[in-house]
Amino acid sequence: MKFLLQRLAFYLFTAWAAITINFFIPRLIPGDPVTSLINKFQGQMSTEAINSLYVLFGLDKDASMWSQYIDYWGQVFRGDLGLSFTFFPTPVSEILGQSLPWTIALVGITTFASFMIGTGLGVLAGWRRGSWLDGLLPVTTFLSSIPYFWLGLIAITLLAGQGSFFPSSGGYEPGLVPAWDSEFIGSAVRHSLLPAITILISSVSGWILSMRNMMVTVASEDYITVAHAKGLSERRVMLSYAARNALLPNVSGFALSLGFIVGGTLLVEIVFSYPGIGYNLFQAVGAKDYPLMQGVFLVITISVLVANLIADVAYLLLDPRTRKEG
Amino acid sequence: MKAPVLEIRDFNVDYGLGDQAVRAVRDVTLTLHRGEVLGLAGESGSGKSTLAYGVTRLLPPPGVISGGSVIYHPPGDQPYDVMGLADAELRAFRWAETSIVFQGAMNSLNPVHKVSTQMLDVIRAHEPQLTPPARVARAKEMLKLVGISADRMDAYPHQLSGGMRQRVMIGMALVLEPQIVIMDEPTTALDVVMQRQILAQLVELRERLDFSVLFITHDLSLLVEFADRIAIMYGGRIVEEARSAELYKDSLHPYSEGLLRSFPALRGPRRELSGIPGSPPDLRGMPSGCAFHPRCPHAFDRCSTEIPVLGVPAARNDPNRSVACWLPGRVPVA
Amino acid sequence: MSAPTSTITAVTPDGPEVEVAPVKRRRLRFVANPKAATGLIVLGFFCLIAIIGPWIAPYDPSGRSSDLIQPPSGKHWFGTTHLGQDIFSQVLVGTRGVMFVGLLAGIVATALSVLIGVSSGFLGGAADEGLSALSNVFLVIPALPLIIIVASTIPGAGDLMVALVIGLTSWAWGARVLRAQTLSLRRRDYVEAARATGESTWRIITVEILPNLTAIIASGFVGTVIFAVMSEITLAFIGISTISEWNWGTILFWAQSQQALAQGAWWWFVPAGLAIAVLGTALSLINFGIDEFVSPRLRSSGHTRVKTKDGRTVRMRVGFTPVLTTTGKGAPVTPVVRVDEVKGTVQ
Repeated sequence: MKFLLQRLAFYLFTAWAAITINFFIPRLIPGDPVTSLINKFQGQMSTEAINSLYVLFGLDKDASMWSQYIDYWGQVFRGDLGLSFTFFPTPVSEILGQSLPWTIALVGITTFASFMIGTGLGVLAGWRRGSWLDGLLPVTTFLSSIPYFWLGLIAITLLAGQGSFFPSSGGYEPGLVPAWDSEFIGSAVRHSLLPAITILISSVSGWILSMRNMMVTVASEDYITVAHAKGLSERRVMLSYAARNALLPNVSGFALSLGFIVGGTLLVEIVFSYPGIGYNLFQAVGAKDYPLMQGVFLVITISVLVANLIADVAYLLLDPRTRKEG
Repeated sequence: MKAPVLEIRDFNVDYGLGDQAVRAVRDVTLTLHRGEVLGLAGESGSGKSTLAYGVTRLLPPPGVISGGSVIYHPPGDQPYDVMGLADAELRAFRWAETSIVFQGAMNSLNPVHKVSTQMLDVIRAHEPQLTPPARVARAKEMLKLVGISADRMDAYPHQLSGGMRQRVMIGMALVLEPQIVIMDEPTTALDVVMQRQILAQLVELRERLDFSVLFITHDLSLLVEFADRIAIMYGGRIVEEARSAELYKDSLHPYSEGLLRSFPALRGPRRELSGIPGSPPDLRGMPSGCAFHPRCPHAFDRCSTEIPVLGVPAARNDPNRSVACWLPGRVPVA
Repeated sequence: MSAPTSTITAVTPDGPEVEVAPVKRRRLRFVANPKAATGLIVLGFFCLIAIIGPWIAPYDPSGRSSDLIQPPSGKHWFGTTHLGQDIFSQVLVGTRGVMFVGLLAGIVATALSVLIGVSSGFLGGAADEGLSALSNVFLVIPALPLIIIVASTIPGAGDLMVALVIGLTSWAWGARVLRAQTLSLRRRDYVEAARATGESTWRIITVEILPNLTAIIASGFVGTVIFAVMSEITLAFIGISTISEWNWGTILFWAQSQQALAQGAWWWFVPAGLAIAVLGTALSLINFGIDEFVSPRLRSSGHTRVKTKDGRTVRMRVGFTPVLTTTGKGAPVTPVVRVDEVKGTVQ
């Protein structure tokens, strides 16, 4: 338990740091991105909305930094992230609320699947050194060096298009209304296949490689020799002894690199015009919609923190040594 | 002397293949008899652990067995060569016939599994017909024999002390009641008090369960007390073999003498501690002739040119002893 | 934007073994690693293009012509854009920006990670706690979105600015690895000895610790370069950094915004993407080389099959030592009965 509380405290601290960074970026960096936008929409915005943007972007120069900071926090807690200019006059929080489930479904599931598949293949590659799986490594290295979004472009060129099973863009058939029925879900799954495969192909090799290396390292541990000496079946030694122990560092590595991975996978949404927050980010950048950009950053950061916490719980369940410290 | 249970014949182990091969064990012939404790001593790098792991075919790559045979005599059945076993046969042979207690129980137990899991999986692998409650009962009984209370079954290795872990390992090694237990420096990582306790317990267990022990250590004084016979290894070869009392009182090989002078005896008359000058030979560049001659205080011309043959020394005409040395009186009878 | 490719920390908990072999020979051994050598050659090639690219480019990358959206031909090796610009020239000229940002960001991030990681590991105590917390925060916060936010707030961010932003936000991984390594080095005997003899902290760090971190620093540098190149191209692709400076991402930006896909103009985005992938692969290979150099066990073992004298092939693997000569299971075994045993109780 102590371990979890420590981690929780750390994530709260990180969330605080991320929000504080968000507070300071528009204040410390020269240039005033928002005023021109506010002027552009002058007359269409309520005073309240303008005020909220003032607090978010530090335009109320009269207030002290400290009171700006307090106001900022108050607003973040209320979930008021300002109005989006791209989707004027929808509040940022509402846009994010709509797109986040899409991202969690696509990026969350594929990242997890990629980790599982990569770890599984890595177990085999590390256990049977010199097998055909070793020959697969250069190929996967090459695939993982390709930017996700470019692989997406290629996938669209080769697999999607007129009459293809794979749609090239969007999250569901344009005519459908989001609902929990089979037609909509089927459509959503079909639209997510190509982006999911893209993410899977580029991210899986990292897991294969790290799990392979971990297996090779673990294979020389004494308890593996003992397991062989005990006459256990090859399968049992490989899974219950070698892979079980090699998994531990891989899980903590998974938690640590989530931030890297999620950043990259969001871009796949751009290529596929997938209705998630990565696509929001792209739209926001194109329209210089700063409130939306900052909102996306906050939501991504918090999602990654939550995912990290889940990975920590998984680690806790896997390693009895951490459990004991509680 | 009793009947043999394990005969190692002309055994050779290499590390690496072809030109890069380095021979770590050379033409070793050694017999372990039923119910006997055979000690195997030598400095690190003498090949004693390589021999033990080679016999069980547990050497990690790049180790290969480049020659010889290891004949196992199952009680009341035809003997067979362990080197000729297929994988599945070897798996069935392991632990049920020959178990191993490894050096440093710290790393021998898998840190993520409970003691019970690690005890029970070996029973399940070898005696699948046993019901789960019977397996648990067997494991508990064995742990009790080595002095671990049954409620420690569900402990993880990190929750046990070093001594307890080694007891668990010993219990695990005996759980299938094998004919042979190979012990590779089983007490080296423990403090002296714990060493004595565990050795005393081993003696007791051996009387009760009647298994044979191949006991590997660099601590010759330990063997003198514990083992029935002792074989001394140097540079991958056996250089002397004798009953432990005889080896202690009257060692014939200068290397055995040096080893005896390297440790204070736990009991018995004191000796002057002097150790052996120099360091063990590099396997890549073994000295010509007797591998020990560069460090030997008695070396003469012949030692650097001819490899001494292991055989019954002429001066002691005792068929239970053998030595490989060119010194007068130690040359084997023709 | 794959996970950091180096696994050095995880693989060698006790750090690289300090070998006595002469430094020169060890370096040669690294270059002799086929993976590292391939990676270095490819990297060298890209560096060369980065330098001479603008001179050897056949056309002005921004120069328009009447050949609109032409597929590859003798005249335009990689085809042309919607404005008739030569894509081959764009790729050549764009290499400089990519390499510049990658290397500069790599240097900045590596310098920061060494500074923060080594001092955190060496100083210990409160300073360590603070610095570790800082690097963990930067590690967990998704770097790319942060870079996008910062870079888009800066008006007209050029290559230099982009490189600095990437460098300043991506040092955390390296710092973490270096901290762990420094901690383990600090406890080694020779460092303790140096401290006991009263050597200055500065001298201990530069003489005793840093040389032993070389492999990890190098691997962290290469990893950051990969990340920086990817980030930079991403920034250009989504249109944040200035599109007036050519790099591979800018090409992809135009290809995407001009619907190159819909027009079937594959040549527009394939060369730049391949160039990224080849550069990324080369850098990863260098890192594999470093990993294997530090921990030789990871080398894919070339020789795993053994031919026995009687013509069988056995595989070398953990747990089942191959037997080169064997009588086979069926062969009869005659127990050797020694003289002394005859007197005993032989059955």
